[in-house]
Amino acid sequence: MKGTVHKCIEKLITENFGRPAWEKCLVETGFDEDHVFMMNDDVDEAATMKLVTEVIPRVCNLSLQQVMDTFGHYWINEYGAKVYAPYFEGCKSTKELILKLDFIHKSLTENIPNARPPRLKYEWLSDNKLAVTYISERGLIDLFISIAHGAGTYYKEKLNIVKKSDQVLEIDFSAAK
Amino acid sequence: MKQFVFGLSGKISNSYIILVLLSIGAIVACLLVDSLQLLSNLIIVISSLSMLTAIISSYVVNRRVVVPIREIEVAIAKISKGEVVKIETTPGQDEISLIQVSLAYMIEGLQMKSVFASEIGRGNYDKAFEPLSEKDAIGAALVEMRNNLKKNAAEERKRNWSTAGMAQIGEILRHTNEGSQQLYDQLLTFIVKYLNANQGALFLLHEEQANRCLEMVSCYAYNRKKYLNKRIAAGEGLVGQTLLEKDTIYLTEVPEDYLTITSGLGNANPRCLLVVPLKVNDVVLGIIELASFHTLEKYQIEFVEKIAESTASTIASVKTNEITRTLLEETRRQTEHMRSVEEEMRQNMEELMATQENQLRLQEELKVNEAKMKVSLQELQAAKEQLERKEAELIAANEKSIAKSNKFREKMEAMDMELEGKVSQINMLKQANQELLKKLSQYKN
Repeated sequence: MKGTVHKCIEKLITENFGRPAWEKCLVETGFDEDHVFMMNDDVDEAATMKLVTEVIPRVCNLSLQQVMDTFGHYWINEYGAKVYAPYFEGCKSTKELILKLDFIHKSLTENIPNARPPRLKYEWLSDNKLAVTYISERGLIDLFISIAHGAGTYYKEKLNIVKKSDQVLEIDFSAAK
Repeated sequence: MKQFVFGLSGKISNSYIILVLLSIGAIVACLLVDSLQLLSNLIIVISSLSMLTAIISSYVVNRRVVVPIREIEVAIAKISKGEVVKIETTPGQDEISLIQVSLAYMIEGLQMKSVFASEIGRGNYDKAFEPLSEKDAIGAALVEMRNNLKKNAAEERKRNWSTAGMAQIGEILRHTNEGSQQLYDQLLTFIVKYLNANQGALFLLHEEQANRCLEMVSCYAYNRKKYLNKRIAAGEGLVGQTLLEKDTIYLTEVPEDYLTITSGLGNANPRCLLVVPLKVNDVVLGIIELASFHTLEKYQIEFVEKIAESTASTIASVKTNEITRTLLEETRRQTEHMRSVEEEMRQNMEELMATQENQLRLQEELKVNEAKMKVSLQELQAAKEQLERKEAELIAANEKSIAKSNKFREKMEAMDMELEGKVSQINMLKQANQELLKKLSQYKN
């Protein structure tokens, strides 16, 4: 997984729980306590999953859903808005950003060999209802839902997201207007 | 006229009567005859006749009285010296003949007594002998003596029989392995044969927990050793009863079907049954049971009781020896264990002493090292102070370094973010270019 995700997590944990908590998370995941993630690093998938699903909930005393919701909000509103500002410039609404996510994923990882970014397929069910198919072996559709809500918060739009299955979710943008 | 008796006194009396009558006749004749001459002739005749009569009477008396009396006197003198003589008897009824006859009877009687005494002396107590009369004191005494000697001989025979038997038993007990089956078999076989009994069994007491029972260890019947397994509980039957009562039982009326062994010639109930406890110090260790077709006498029963006592002593001795052997074995093992412990302790002592010496040596070295350590301690103290000073310097340097490192990291992160942003920008520009190119191509078309 691209190191930018870990950099985001580091900032999130450091700002909310302190540097020592992050160092503890690093050590328990198997990294050195002064390990530095570079944004373009290709970090081990298993270590990443361990960090997100086991270590951070234990160290920070959060549930997994809380971790994903917090991350999704921080990724869009704090980290992404700053680092990936060019991507945000072209999007005026949540809908545009969500529709651009597949392109963003692909372009962010095209320089990383063996990268397997999550891919998204879109299908309009109606004028305001979009069915998104989340294609990834990681199975983090709940994280994508959190990111989508984060995007709604960024654009100050209400979204109604229904998870249909482990791969499909429906976003209703009618409340966003 | 009773004076005219038969016999010697009669003869002498008759002679004197004749002399007296002749004298009276002479006197009467003298009285009747006046002439001196006739008288003197008569006196001479009469005197002559008297002398002749006297001579004849003396001869007769000598032959008929003195000689026999002299013979009797000689015989009696010899008899008084213990000789057995023969005496001639003359027929007649006179005193001399009667004396001779009586003397002959007496001599004969003495001869018979002598022969009888000789026979008794040779041990022939069955020699027939009758006293001469009810008043024959010597004969009666001899008979009584014979009876007593016979009785004593019988007693002696019984005693010798018991003694010989005990000696043989002693040999068996001494020479046979103690506690072995061979001992029991030899013992029982000897007893049955020595008593001329027919069957015998030897039981030994087994005490298993609270149960006491008698187990047959040897059996002998009809000149053969038998092999039987038999157990009898305390109080069961005669044998079990003997165990409880601790006393000999002797029956002369044996119950029918009592015995379990019969001979090949047929079944016959024994005349008597003897059950004797093997007892020592009033403790019963076993039982001997004997059956016989002839009754047993008291001395035979006493003999079996003595054997039982000896056997019980042997069995008790066997048990004691066994216990002693076990204890000795235990003692030997403990002794060996003690020896090994002692050896171990000795080695430990040696090691301890070596350790002590080593310890003393080490203590000396320790003292030396202590002194050295004191010096080293002072040096260490100085070094410590120096290190503390250096540590402080290092901490300060480290903090500076951390601060520099943090600054560097922040700078690096900022550069990294900037780079990522630039990449994003480039990607966006790429996409915009592509879209422009797409539009241009559409426009060209």
